[in-house]
Amino acid sequence: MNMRRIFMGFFFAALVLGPAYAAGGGDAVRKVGLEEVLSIGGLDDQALFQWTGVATDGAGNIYVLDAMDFSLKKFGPDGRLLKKAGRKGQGPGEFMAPRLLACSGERLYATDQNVFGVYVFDRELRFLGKIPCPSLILALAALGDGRLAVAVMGMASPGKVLVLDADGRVLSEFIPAEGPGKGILMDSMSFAQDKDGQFYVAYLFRDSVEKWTREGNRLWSKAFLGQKKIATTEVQSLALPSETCFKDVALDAFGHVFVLGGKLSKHPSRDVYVLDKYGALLATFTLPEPSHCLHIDGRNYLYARANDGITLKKYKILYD
Amino acid sequence: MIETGRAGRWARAVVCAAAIFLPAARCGRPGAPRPSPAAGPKSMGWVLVDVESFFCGACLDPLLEFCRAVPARVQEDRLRAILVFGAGPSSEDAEIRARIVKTKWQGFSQANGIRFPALADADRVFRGTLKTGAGILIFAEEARTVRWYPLPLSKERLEEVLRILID
Repeated sequence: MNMRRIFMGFFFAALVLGPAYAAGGGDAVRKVGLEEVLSIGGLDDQALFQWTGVATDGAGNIYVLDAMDFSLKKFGPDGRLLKKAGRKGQGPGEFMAPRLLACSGERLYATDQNVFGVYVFDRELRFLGKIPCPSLILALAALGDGRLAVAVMGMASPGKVLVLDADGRVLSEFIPAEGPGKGILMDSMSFAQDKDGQFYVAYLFRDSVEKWTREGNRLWSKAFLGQKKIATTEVQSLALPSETCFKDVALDAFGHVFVLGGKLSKHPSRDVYVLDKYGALLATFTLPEPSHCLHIDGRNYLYARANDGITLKKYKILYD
Repeated sequence: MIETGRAGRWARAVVCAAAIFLPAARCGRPGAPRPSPAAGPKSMGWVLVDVESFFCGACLDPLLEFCRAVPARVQEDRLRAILVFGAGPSSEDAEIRARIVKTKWQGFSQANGIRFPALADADRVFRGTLKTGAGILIFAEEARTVRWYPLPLSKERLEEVLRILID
């Protein structure tokens, strides 16, 4: 009887975990490839003009912010435009410079580059309100239960990662960069949070990818580009960094960390570094075209830019 | 039915005379009625737009300010946008870039109520003229001059451009 239970236990474990490992779910990934499955917008249509942020829901719908026509668009799983909302302005549901987008449950969260806060929409693109934020937002993630994580820009002080509740109250915060005095914009970052609540942080102007606990303890730090010093350009007597290291970071359903390289990677804005949760480099692959961001949905489809932002490509991630 | 009588010959003569005389009159040839000033060549403006400025939030604000000052009819009749962009070395790159920037302009112009159409500077003729932002090349018919007005325009310069375009 016990043997039978053990056997059944193995059987169900294999049933549940098998497809994941067959698809490359373990950390034994050595090679990652992409297979294009959907393309939205292009040279011959007007679906997208300059998309900036992308998010997906559990039903396979794709939500996109478009900076050129100041809109939020909803596409079905087949890529058909279902709805469009927003226009240029500073009123409810309007944008001046739409940037980041995240989806959690029935809610969509969007940022406007120059707005101290996060706009909330429902999945039918109805504007619901705004969550206040104490500073401008550089990165955004929806954590569930109405909580948000945001990376905020620091001017006099270094940038921080804040966890906000649905009313904008700061629940926790930490400063990933090693204190002030590192230069303007040097704390620009993107991040992703794993199921344990730990953060993977990739810096725009530093050759550094790090893992942090939500309490603000750094678990590891890795460099992949061999860059000690980033070139700067003088703009109105300010020395601003001019070469990007890492543009975005995203996690797949197995917990692999996908980091999009910037201008300093071998194929600028196309190389993607795949890491395990300890920061070990498992594989690299190259996007067909440069992208400014990466998004991976719960089914391990990767979304990236093409045609300089008038096209959004959806790829199936192939693991080997 | 072909008319062969005297009335038919007169009718053909009138039609032929009209066919010769009317186009000549439109072209202002000697002997033709003098065209009114309104029928003469119009002043035009080419609005040069650096496509990279699309990514900079406030860089095209002066362009939008200018567009708000120009009546819709004048925008449609007298203005054209020239989209200035960089591209790779091959002509194929330039052609694809031209199509991309025209698509971007569609979104930008629709969202901002801009009424004039755009042409892409496929051979990058204006790359040296316009470094960033936007400017207007005005072809002033009355003065027979071509003048360059970088944006933003002062109030006086805006009035000058409007006077040229609207007169």
